[in-house]
Amino acid sequence: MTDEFLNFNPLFNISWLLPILLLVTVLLIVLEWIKAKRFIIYRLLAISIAMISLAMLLFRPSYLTKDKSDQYLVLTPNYPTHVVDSLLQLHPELMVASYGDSSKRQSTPQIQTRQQLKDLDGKIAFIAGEGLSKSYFNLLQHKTFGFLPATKPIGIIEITLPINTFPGQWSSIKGRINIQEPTTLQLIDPAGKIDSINFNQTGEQDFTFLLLLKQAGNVLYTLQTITSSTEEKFSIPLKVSEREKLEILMLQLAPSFEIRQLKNFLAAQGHGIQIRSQLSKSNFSYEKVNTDKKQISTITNDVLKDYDLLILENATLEQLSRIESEAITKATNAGLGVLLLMNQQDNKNKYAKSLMDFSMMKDDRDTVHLWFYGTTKKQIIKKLKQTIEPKQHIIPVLVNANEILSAYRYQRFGKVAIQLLNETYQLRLAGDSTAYANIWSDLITLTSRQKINNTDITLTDEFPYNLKESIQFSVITNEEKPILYYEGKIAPLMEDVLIDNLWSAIIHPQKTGWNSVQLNDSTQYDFYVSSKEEWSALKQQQQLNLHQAETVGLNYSNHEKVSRYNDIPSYLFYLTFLLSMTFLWLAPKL
Amino acid sequence: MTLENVRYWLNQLSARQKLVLLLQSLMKGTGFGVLFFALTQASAVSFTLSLVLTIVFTIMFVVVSLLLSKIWVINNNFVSRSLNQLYPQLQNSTDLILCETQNLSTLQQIQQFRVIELIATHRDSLKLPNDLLKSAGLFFLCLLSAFLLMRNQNSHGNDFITRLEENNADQVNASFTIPTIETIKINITPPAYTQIKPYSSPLNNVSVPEGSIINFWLRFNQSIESASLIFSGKDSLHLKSIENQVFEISFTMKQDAYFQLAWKSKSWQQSDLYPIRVVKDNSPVLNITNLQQFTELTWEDSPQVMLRANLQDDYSISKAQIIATVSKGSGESVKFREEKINFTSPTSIHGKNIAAETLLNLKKLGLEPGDELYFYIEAFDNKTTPNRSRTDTYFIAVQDTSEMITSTEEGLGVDLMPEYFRSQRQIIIDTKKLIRNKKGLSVADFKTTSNELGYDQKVLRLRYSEFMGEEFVSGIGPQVSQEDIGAIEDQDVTKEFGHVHDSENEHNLVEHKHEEEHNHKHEETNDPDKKLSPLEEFVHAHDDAEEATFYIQSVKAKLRAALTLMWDAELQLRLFEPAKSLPYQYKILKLLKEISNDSRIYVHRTGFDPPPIKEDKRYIADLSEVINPTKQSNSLEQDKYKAIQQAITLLQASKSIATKTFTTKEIQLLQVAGNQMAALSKDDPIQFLEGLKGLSKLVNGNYTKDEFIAIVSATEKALWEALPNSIQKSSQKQLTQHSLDSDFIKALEYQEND
Repeated sequence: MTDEFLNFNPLFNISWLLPILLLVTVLLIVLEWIKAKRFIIYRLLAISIAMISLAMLLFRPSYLTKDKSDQYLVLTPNYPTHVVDSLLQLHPELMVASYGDSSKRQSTPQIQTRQQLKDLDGKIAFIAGEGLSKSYFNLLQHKTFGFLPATKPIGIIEITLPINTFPGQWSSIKGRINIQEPTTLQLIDPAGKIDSINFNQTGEQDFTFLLLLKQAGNVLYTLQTITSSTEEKFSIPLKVSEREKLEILMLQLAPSFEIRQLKNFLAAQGHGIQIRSQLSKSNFSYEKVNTDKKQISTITNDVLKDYDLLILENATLEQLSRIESEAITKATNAGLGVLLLMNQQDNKNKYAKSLMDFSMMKDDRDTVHLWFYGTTKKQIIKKLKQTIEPKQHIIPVLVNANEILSAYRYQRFGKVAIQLLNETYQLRLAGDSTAYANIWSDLITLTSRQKINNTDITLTDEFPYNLKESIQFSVITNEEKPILYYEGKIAPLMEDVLIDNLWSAIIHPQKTGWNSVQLNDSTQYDFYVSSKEEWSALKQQQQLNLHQAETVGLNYSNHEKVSRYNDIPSYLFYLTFLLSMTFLWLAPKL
Repeated sequence: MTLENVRYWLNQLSARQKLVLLLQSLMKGTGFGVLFFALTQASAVSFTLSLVLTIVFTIMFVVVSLLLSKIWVINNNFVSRSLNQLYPQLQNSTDLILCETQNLSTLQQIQQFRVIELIATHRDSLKLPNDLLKSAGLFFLCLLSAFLLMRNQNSHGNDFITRLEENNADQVNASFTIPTIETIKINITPPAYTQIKPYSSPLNNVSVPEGSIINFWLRFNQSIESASLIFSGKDSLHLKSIENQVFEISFTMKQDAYFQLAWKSKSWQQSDLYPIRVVKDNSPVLNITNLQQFTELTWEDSPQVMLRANLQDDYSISKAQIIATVSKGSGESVKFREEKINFTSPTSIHGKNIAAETLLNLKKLGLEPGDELYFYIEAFDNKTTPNRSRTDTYFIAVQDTSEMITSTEEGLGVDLMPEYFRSQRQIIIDTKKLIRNKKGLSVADFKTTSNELGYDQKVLRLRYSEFMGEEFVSGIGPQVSQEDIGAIEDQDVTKEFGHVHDSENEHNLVEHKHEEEHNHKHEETNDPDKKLSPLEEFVHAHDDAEEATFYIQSVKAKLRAALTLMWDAELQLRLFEPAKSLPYQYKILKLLKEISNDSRIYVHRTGFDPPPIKEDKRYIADLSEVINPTKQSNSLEQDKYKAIQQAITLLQASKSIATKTFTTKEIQLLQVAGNQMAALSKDDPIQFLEGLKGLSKLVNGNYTKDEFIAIVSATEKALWEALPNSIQKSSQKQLTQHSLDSDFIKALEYQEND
């Protein structure tokens, strides 16, 4: 580019175009000269103008300006007009480009292709409105721009769906809704409405739905928002895995109701249980339910490897030999879960103490009043006259008014948990299975050994997923050359440069509803693709969040104005040509 | 123009004529062929066949047309002859052109020359006749007709085809004879007592009162072999054939169910599922509106109590009355008398909703102070085997204010008789304690405590005396009258119950009798074992020897003796001589023990009789033969919802596929889910009717594309409702572990150990 005022961008090579045009001009002039002399001057002028216009159409001239910088303000849908106007007033040198349907500003160049956006990379000073779509946003290498967000969308703007769920587990659907009028939010399962919340105040409000999952598989729930004028439905896809059976070992010095009822409760769910009761120093009585594991005379690490959870009272723990205690510690380090039922306050045995490792605080009360979700009345349950001191490494499971009643902690790959409630069997005997299940189910699940998978497929992008928009997967696998399939076709996998066995892939869903990807080792991952109309507010909010996370604020300093050539609109030349030719045609008839 | 030129022209004309004829034939043939094609397509002949026939027809038509036009005869001679006929100005001499000049005579040569000139002059107007235009017109007409025919066939949505198809279908159906139901009538005749008139019911909403006769009347469009009604997928009733194509059945239903019609001609056909709801005849609902359940009246209150009640029934109440029981007396002498009382208003109990009332005259019923009246209302409805119901029992008690409150010993300031009494052992313990603490207590305290112990002894005695059949409080021995108690209050308690050291034996060196300043008439001795006169021994037993008691004779005697000793013990305690009462108390205790032992019942022990232990095995601490007991069981409940859960997953996945066709395996799964659902709906067959209907449609493929999603959604909803509400459960959680995770934890471990 030169600094000349006019610049040409000819369609054809100017070195032969110009002579041709000149020749044609001369020819036309001669031909006109030969014809009648009436309006000869005007006709010659018309020919000249026509040829010049034609030349300009072919040469495509542009003129030099220096009133704009090379920085852009990108306008996206629902941009705040008054803010943008103020910004442009403040910085008139900013170039303006449009993205999406931000048609309020006329005559701004549209960013329609990825290449066009890439060309602006590093030159975007501001983005105003809802922002760029995620795939476009990720194209930008330099994300140091200011963001002028659009107003928060109306509707559900945040949602957290439960993951790693199984039937019989309480799961929560949490979210945030932004409303302008009183709204009812309903959670509907395949059989009908199961819960609802009425929002009477406008603005942003949080919501949480608790549901007890009924069955395994890919299940679609529905969230419905109802206002005085509209109703909207949103599909909530939940992936519920099958319940996995646990192998549980219970040790007791003497038969107790607590262990017996716990055994019955767990056995009814299909878990394999072996109870060892001590009859004498070396004699034990065994009871096996849903399992055919061998009897255990001595607790060793090898024996405990076959079990997922060890349940015993801390008094029993005290009576174990040193070898057995060490075996339990070793097994816990390797992944075993240990659940201690606290039936005595002090532990004298040092191995028991080391396994316990919970800071306990004295408490005068020996009962606690608890209300459980799904029940109608409070239960009074006996407990040890102690509470667990909250610490960072202690993860509470059952809490009552800041008082931790059961908790667990990690010990290497395994976990150790304690339960302070006593005589909970009375709940079961009284017929309150719900309360009993509430006390034990989570504790058992969280404490027991986890099934280790070496292969896993996860989605790195957040819900919702849309048709033909890219979704990124993360794959962990030990396979040397894993292959990922989607709809029968191979989706290319890229291994992480720094981390072995970690791969990523991007696919573009081809259909709405449940989709799945599979690895060549038959690991399958299902995901749900929502229809275009769903979750518009959520998608907008996610876009806003994405931009706000990257924004560096509005510290824009005046950039130097740069010279640029602006094209002269070619329609001007075309009109001129047309008018000239019209005159030439009309002239003989006048 | 030369002769050669003319001859050439003649040749050309001949060729042209042949071409025209060919063209005519082709155009006609093609036109008719296209029309033929359109006609065959309109007749629903297959396209290939239609095309083949058209081609054949066209070829044949062209060939025939050419044959008819005799194209082979067209040559120069024919053309010249035709020209001679058509154009007189050629003077019939055109054929001279074809002759060689040298072979002609002079005149012929001249004529030949003349013809040549004529032809040269009129060449342009010399043409042979043809029907080319007509053929072209015919061709286009045929094309137009064919076009219209084809268009008409498509634009009417295959009307013609449809009619034809229906006709065909009818013919096919006729040939296969699939019978259908023309008319169904369902007539319900409720039981007479309900007073509901017989009525007709729609098929999809059959609701009948309990005990109704349901009559199904069906007419089929043709003869069938048999027809049945299938209830809830299990039981079936065969319909009776009353006429050709007409079947009927009458039956009664006891509980809700769903039914399906099935009929057989060559194969079985089944209808959709429909519910039958049986409206049960409930028992009457009775409600007493104006009285509390417990009413207590004093003697001053009016002896008449108004009783009002609401009696309701879904059809009619036939009978209602009040069953009243009067209870007179108390304890073992209580007497009960039952009476049945009718309502005074209305006089006859009849109707659905009755407000009944009556006046209970307690005096007439014979109630006196202390008596109670228990009553309830009993009602029967007008069912053939009537339903009975009754209210709760209501109580009306007439207070007896003259009755003393028992166990009040005002003079001694003792509390009301305790719910339980202190045992003899406790009294002994307290007596010993009192003796032990005597030095530490003041005289007044000592005497008070001793007196209280005496009172306890009395209470014990009274309790035991009940077993002897003695009901009254004072029981054995002379009674303390109110006046005496009053007199006692005015006196010094100690003097009353003390003894006066007015004899030379004040130090109790010899046995002596106490003066009879108290109510006990028996003589006190220090040695209770000393036999008194036989009469005196039993002087406190005031009852008949044949008094009622729970015990056998020996036990009775012991008890009597114990009671006697209790008197003595009490006496000593009242006299502030606890030490002296102790021997009596021990004897009482011994007797009471013997009594309780005597009254034990011993039964022979049944069951396991262990073998006698071998002496050489005992206490040797040999556990080698002791086996660790093991108990094995399985308590996993059979999952009776597995197929339902799998069916839900299948249906959810199917919703997104509008054109889903179920595989054989999937159909089997749906069938199993249907069976599980039917098993769950045993108690209420209609509960999952919509789900069963939906499953039936999906299994049998009885749905259109548009209905598919709706049926799947309805079926899924029913299956979901069939799943029970679960309680919270446990499971093993899954964890994906990268090798880095375990390395990290191991590194932490090393760090800790360092």
